[in-house]
Amino acid sequence: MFVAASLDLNPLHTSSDYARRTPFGEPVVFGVLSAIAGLEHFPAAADVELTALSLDFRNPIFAGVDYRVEVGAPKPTRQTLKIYDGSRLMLLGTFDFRPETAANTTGEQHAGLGRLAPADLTSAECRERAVIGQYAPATAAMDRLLDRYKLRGKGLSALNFSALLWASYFVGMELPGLRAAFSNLKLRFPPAEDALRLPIDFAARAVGFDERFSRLEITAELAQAGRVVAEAEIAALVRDDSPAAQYEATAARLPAEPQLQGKTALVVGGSRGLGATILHALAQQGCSVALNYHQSDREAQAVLDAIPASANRAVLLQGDMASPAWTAELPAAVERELGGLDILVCNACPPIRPHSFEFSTVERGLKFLQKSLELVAYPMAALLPLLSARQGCVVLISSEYARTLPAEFFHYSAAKVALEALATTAARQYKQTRFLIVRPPKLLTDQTNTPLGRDSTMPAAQVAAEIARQIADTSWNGVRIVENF
Amino acid sequence: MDEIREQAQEVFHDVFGDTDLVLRDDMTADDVDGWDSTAHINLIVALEKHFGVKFAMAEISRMKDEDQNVGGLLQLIAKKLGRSG
Repeated sequence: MFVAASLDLNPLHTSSDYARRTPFGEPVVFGVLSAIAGLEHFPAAADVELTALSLDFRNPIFAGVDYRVEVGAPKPTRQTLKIYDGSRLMLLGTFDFRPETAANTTGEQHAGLGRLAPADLTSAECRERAVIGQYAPATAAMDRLLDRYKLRGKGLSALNFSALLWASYFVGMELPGLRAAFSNLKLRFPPAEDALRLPIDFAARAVGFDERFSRLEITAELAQAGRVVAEAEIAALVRDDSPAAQYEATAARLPAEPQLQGKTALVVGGSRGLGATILHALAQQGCSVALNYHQSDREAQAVLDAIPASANRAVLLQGDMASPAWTAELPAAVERELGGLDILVCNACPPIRPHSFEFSTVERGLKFLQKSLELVAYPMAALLPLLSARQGCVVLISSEYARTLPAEFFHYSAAKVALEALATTAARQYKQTRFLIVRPPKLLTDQTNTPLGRDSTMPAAQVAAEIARQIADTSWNGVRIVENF
Repeated sequence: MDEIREQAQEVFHDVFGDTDLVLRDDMTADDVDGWDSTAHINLIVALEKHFGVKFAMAEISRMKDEDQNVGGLLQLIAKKLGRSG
């Protein structure tokens, strides 16, 4: 309904396939829609008119989560909206009203006017950009939205709602467009008695870009019949692509003479990030490799395509490692593709999001924990007999968080600690197999490709090279933990 | 320093939407409702605009460390303004 009304088609909100490749891991609810849903909790207000609003989109909101809404009235002419996930503030809104004036809810009908696909602009392309155009929400869908959230009679006019929908459309489709993450919105509405006339003319320009945060600031004016009806200040974060695994860059950190010639390796979760880089390192060191992935087929193929033709065998092995039915067939598949197994790299992990530890987040935390364990336990249990037969090596990708245990990642830390215990316990049973537990620091991957996430990251190739060296070093047995890279 | 604290408090009120917030030197991010990574960016941008200063990325990252507090932040602002703490 929101997509139909706003014409904001940004795939971060509508496509699981696209969202999976972003730091969010799954589709994010439109920020403006979250605010609109929160407005349902506002009291009825007959004789007031909105003069200004401010929205801070603090943290991504996802479908299927019970959020808590708090509304307040710190002043007679101001309403506040706060949306919480437990104690974590997700959205902060303030709405200022002009008393004794009824909001004009009338307006023209329109089928909607906007781009058909989001602009794909890098942060460099956004910086000096100006955008002029026309916009109209699809008013029939907008009306359904207003009815759905009981928004009539709360002091917001048809123009106010159109401006809100425009803001979502503009950020998600025009500037920054595809790579946008909406951060802040301020709208000011001069006194207006006119009914909404569509389409709205808009003129916007980028007025600042902060390299440290990839944060774009935009000012805009919305006008109808030549008169400014709204002024906007927008801040949005711009996602640039996190670096893809570079075979040559990884190879440059490794011995030129292959140390693992003739070995076979399976990387679970090898379609991007550290998993892809490890796959490249093992291929460069002489392994025949199988890349397991679940859904990211384009990315997985690109990782394989980067391996030179002169390297040993490299194949894709698509499947869900958390599925007992699929992993039951895994030994046969590995025998067929690789003829046996020397190295198993357990790298797959569900999307990681911060959660404070409280009652409302326990269920999500436990689901994360279970999925994390499944992605390692099933393939490890299925393949240890094969590995044991060749005195092979299991590589478990843990994290420095298993040691530092930061707040807001209780689920992730618990998962990594549990997996380390799993590997250590398995080592007591499979004495012929070595277990390498790797605790990397923060790496630059799709998961950490956020403004502050990028700060002080280590290149994945540095970790991958150390893993390859440790596997090739046959002086150790049992369990080894690696924390220095 | 009191003037810097008073002005910074106004910025905090605006960023965190809490006009009852009273800054203390020993206050950390954990003591302020909603002071997460996103709010941290908003706070930095707002402080920089208000005081006309600029923080380096290393200073920004360090601010959220467990041993850092509001007192340290105010002293950093004072230092950038060329005033003693």
